[in-house]
Parts: sequence; structure tokens; C-alpha cells
Amino acid sequence: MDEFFSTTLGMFTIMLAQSLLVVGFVMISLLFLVYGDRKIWAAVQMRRGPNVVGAFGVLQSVADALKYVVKEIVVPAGVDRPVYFLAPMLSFVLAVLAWAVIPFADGWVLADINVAILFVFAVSSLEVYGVIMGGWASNSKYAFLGSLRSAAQMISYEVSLGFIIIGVIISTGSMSFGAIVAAQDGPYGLFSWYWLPHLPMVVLFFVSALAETNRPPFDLPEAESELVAGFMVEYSSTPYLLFMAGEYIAIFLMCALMSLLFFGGWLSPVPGLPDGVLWMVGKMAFFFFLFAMVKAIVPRYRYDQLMRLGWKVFLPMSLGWVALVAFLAKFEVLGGAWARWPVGG
Amino acid sequence: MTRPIPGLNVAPAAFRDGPMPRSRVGAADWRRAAEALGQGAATLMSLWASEGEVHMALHDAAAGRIGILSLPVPEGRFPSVAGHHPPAQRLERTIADLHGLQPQGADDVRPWLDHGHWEIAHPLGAAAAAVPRLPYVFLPVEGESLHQVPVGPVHAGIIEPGHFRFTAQGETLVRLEARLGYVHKGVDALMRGATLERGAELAGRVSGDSTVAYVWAFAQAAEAALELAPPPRAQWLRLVMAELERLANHLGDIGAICNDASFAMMQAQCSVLREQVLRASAACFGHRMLRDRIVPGGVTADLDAAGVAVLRGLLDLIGGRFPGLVTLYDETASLQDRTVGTGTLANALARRFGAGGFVGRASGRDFDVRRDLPYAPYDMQPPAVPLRSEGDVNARVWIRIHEIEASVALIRTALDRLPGGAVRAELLAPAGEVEGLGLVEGFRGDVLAWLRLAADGSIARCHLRDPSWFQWPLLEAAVEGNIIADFPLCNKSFNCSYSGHDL
Repeated sequence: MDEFFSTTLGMFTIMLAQSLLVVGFVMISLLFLVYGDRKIWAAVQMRRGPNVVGAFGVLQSVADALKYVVKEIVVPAGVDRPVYFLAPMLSFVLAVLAWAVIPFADGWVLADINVAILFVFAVSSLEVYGVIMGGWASNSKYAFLGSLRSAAQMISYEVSLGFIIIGVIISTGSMSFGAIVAAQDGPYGLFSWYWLPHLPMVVLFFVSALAETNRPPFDLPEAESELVAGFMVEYSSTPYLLFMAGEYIAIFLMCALMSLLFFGGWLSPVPGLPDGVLWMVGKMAFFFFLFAMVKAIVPRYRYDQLMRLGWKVFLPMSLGWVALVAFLAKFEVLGGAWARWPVGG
Repeated sequence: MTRPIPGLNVAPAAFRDGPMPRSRVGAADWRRAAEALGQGAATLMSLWASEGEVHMALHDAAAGRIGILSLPVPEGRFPSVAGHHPPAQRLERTIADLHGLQPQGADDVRPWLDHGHWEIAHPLGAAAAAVPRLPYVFLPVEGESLHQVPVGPVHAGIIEPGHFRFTAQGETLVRLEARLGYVHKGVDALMRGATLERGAELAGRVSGDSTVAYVWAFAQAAEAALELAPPPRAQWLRLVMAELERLANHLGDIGAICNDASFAMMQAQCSVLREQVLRASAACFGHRMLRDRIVPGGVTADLDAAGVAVLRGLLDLIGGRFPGLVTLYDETASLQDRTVGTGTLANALARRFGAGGFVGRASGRDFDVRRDLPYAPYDMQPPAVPLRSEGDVNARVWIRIHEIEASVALIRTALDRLPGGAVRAELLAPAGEVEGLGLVEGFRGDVLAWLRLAADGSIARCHLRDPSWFQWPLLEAAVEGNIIADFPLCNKSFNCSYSGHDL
């Protein structure tokens, strides 16, 4: 058996199985994320939310997904068909692709590459193409306006996200998630994690993540009272499902990044308790809960306010933080809270 | 110094007590009145036509007088008021559509309610075969890199139909022009020859959310024409109904405005309170929207002790929950980012157009019929009238908030002071042809009803004027310079009636 796994076919089989495992985890999580999102939103609005399909409505997402899959795909007149169908696939595939480098526990990762952060950002910055292609190919001015807004928004906030992460990289001296989490493993449990020294950036990261994933209150690309459903307005059935799934997976990815970069990933918050995958999943679920609550209780921003926030507030702040962290790390201020590696070396 | 307008001679306290006199004027005096309106000497309350005449209802707040000027138009033409006073423009276009009477010297003679789908032209005048209409021409906009966005008449949502033509430069609105008339029901024509009972039903169906205000105004006009005083208990019950209607609508509006900034939680909370108001209305008076509860002569539903208890419970509920929602609104900074400074209506424009309701009171126009042209029982219990001058969405929300508080106080007082006795008086036959005027503060503003009864008691002509007539044009002004994305917020904060306007 061991012999088989050392052949090309065997390694391929292992990789395929691992990939399926991760994709399966993401897809099953997706079902419950959508359900949880709707339940939380409903609770805030004093509604019951999904409560018919399955016990407490837990199978509602399954029913919805089935419905999307079996519905007829309506293709509006005048669309650019290849691009029209490529766009949702691109969105979805790219959203899933980023998970290739996300570790769930020590060593539990599909591809442990040393530029994992770069990979995630390279892939997620491509997601904007799905949006632009969808808006452009739909042959509708509302979709097109929505996709332009979305493109501008995603690009704007990616810049600040990038700078925020540079601060973490400076502190760690590595772009590997494994190293970043390992650098947060200290004697003080959760107080050793990066959220404490990088506190202002945690807030910025969370808000930027909302904007980057087009979540309320920054859901301007699909602001339903203005642009109907933005770039997705001409999509129905499975292509629509792919867009939606892509969006939720991207949100969940942001939750994973939050926990890896600032909250110690799979590390236990209390010294002495074993580390492990449950911590990681629990943290991701907690951040998703925050995402859902923000959606439910924060009103939508106006487009110009969003862009102003991105370029005039977040960008200078995150840039300034990079410089500050570089300084704090170089001189090992507070016993090297901002430098967990031999910086001077 | 402007000269007083001739013919404005009725004291506000008196016009509901008996038939409303009209001053027949010549073309010169008519023109003089129009000029005086243009100079701001008085407020135009309405402009309408009946057989062979055009009428103009005016209110001179400084002199404390109101009046109706009538100009005979034997040749089918009358001097345009809109030429001097733009708020009259759409009313004149409506007169031209319905009666075929042409305003002379008007800048805008495009049809208004008649979209070219009616089977006859001028249905209220010398009816003629419909003539094919040319395509409607929107006002021209000139400038670099402008684009137009047509919205409606069918909207994504449960709202009424109306077409909005946006001209934008980038995201910024350069001009908005509304086109209304899609829900024209021919109420004026249906009224002709109808009985008073039928007339009251029709009036209550002009604008569903203001059914109490409309029927009350209609009943006032009928009661004035017939010199009939409804029983005191009926008057107080009308107040309770009118304030319940105001509560329900304001609660709904505040939630809906917040929802247009995607603050759905506020809408959910407000909707629950609104639903409680509607349920209490149903429990006390037998109809959620209080339709057909007011009739000329009184009311059709009395309030028993159980009903009083239900209403007191409702007021306690609102009193307990609403302050928390107000705090939530006030302390949600990103919501304030959307509402403060958005859709600002200049005070001068609000005054010029005589904008009623929260639209006027949020822009410094200190006018409320309940206080300034009071009617029973508000003359005994005037409401607190909030006033702000910022004129933005936020100000209109705050006016609503304060009016909710005032309505709760009013209903409490009414329940305490509710006299006993009958709730409906017998209608008398009119002594010949009589006319009456009614004016009621609905939740949107002042609803005007003018009624002419024939000697047999049937309705010869009824004119109902929604406050939205003077608010729709202001919405167009208020959104200029805002971005399209803020239009839903601005529109909802005005919440003008389509149905009441299209009639």
C-alpha cells in the first residue's frame, strides 16, 4: 500500500482525497453558514427565519441549493454567452481555490507553501474578474453599474488588507500560515496572539473584510433598493448559486484569515488546554457570527462614504501602521511583542 | 408692501360652521391674486374647476383669513396662476386634462393626468372624443456627459406606480422629473351625482393610508354645507381615529426610511409597533385601517370600555418601546451618515409651495391645521407641533418621531375626556344648492375637501386635494445634487401619495 502512495498515481489520489475533504468541509459549512446567517438576521428582526425544512429549518439551505440546481437557467437576450457562464464559475472556483493553503490545524493543510498569504491574496484579488465579467456580459446597465462599483470597492479595500497583513508578516518574519500561528504560541495563551499588539489593525481588517466580500453594510454592488441585485441581477438558477456560494465561501475565508492572522488559528486560548482543529473551526464560526450580526444591525453605507473610508482613512492608517510596526519590531519594543523572530539578524 | 388679496374674507374659525361663500372675481382680480401668491402674500390651498368656473382656495396666515375665489370661464380660458406661482402648475394641467379649460400664459401646458389612454377627453368638462396624444416630452437637460435613468412606473417593491426620470452626471443627480397619473381613478367623475354616503365611501378610498383624514375632511365639508354639528363624542372619536392613523403611518415610515438605508432591524421593530396599532384599531373600531368609520354626521363605530382598555394598552406599549427605537436611530452613527444632510429642502421652497405635514415642518414651515385652522375637538386640545429647519431626511424623521409622541399624548387626553352621548347625527336635506369646505391635518399634511351639494342632497361637485400636490415638486428639488442611491431615502422621507394625487 505504501508503495502505491509513493507512485505518481498514488500521490495524485491522496491529493484528490485531501482536496475533496477540504472542499467537502467548505461546502457543508456553507449550507450551515447560509442557514445561520438567515437565522441570525431573522432573530434580529424578530422573525423566525427558516423553520420548515428539517428540524428548526436546518435543511433549508439544502432545499434552496436543490432548487437552484434544478431550476431552468434563464439566459437574457443579448448576453455574451461564454463570458456570462464563465463569470460565476470563475467566482466560485477562485473562492474555493484559496482554501488550498488554509491550515486547519498544525500540518492540516493541502499545500503548505511558504508564500501562503501571497497565494490567498493573489487568488482573492482575481475574484473581482468574476464580478466584472458577470456585470459586463449581462447586457444590463444595472448589472454593469453594480460590477463597476464592486470592482472599485474590492480593489480599494484589498490595498488596505495588504498593508494590514504586512504588519503581521513583519512581526512573524514569514508568509506561511503555519509560521504565523506558531509565532503566536506564547506562555500567555490568548494574550500572546497578534490581536493584542495589532489591535487597531484587527478592527481595520474586519471592516475591510466586510467591504472586500461585499457584505453589508458595504453591499453596494447589490444594493437592492438602488441597483436591484447589482452584477447578479441577470443571473438565475445554478450560475446564481455559484455566485452566492462564491460570496459565502469568500466570507468564510475571511473568517479563517482573521483567526489565523490575529487569533492564533488552532491554538488554545488557555495555556494547558490542547490545541487543535476545533479551536480553529470555533473561531471561524465566531467571526462568521460577527459578520452576520454586522449585516443585521448596521445600516448600509453610501458609495462615496465607502470609498472615502477606504482611501482616506484605512489606507493611511494601515500604511502608517506598517511603518510603526517596522520601528517597534526593529527596536524590539516591549520585549519584542511586535517581533517574534530575530529581526536584527 | 403687497396689497391684500380681494375676496379673502372668511375667518378661519368660521368656515366649517356653515356653507362656504365664494368670491366671484373678474380676470383682473384673479390675475392680481395670482401675482400676490407669487409674491408670497398668501398660500395656495388648492386650484380646481367646476362647470364653467375655476376656483382658487387661499389662506392668508398673516391676515388670518381664508377664501375661495371663483372666476367664470365662459370661453374655456383663464389667466394662468402658475405663470406667477409655480405650485399651481400641475393643478392647472389637471384642470386642462379634466375640464378642457386652458390656462393662458402658462409655461407648461403638457398633459398631466391624461396619458392618452382615456376613452374621452376632458371627462369633467365638455366631454369630447379622445385625441391621440403625442409622446410625453420630459423637460430638457443640457450639459456635458449627462445620462438618464428611467425608473418606474413599476417598482421593485409594494409601492404605487409613478415614473421618475433621473438625469445624472456620474452619480450626482442633475434633475429629477416625476410623471404621475398612473392611478387615476376618476374619483371626481364618480362623485358627481353620488349620495353623501357613497361620496364618503369614495373619499375614504382616494388614498388608503389617509382614509380617516379624507373622510373627515369630506364630512367636514358636508357638515358645513348642511350646517350640521356632529355630536361631541363623535368629534373625539374622530380625533382618536385620526391620531391612530397618524401613529400607524409614521411608525411605518420611520421603519421604511431606515430600511432604505438597509437598517432592516429598525423596520422590523417599527413594523411590529405599527401592526399593534392596526390590531388595536381593528379591535376598537372594526377595521384595521379605519376605513368607512367616519361618515358625514358622525362616526359608525363607538368605543366601549373594552376598546378604551385596548387603546390604553397600545399607548403604554408604544410609550414603553418607542423611546428605545428613537435612541437606536439617534445613536446609530452610520445611519445618521445617511440621513443627515441628505435630500435637503430649502425653507423658502417649502414656504412658497405651502408644503404641509412633516415635509413643511421639517423645513421651517410652522403650520398645522389642527393648531392654526383648528377644528373640533382640536380647538379644545391643540397638539404640540414640532418644527425643524434643516429640511433633510433626518429632520423629517424627527418631525415624525415628535408627532408620534404628540399623537400618543392626544389619544390619552381624548380617552380621558371622551364625552358620552350619541355618535351620529341625522343628516338634514340641504336648503337648496349649498357648498362647504373641509380641511383636516392628515399624517402627510392638510387634506382639503370642497363640496357642492345639489338641492336633492346629491353631490354636484367634490374636489379633494391631497397634500402631495405641493410635496411632489419639492421632492424633485430636494434630490438635486444628491446621488441616485439616496433617492429611495429621500422619496421615503417625503412619502407622497400617488393615489391621492392621481385621484
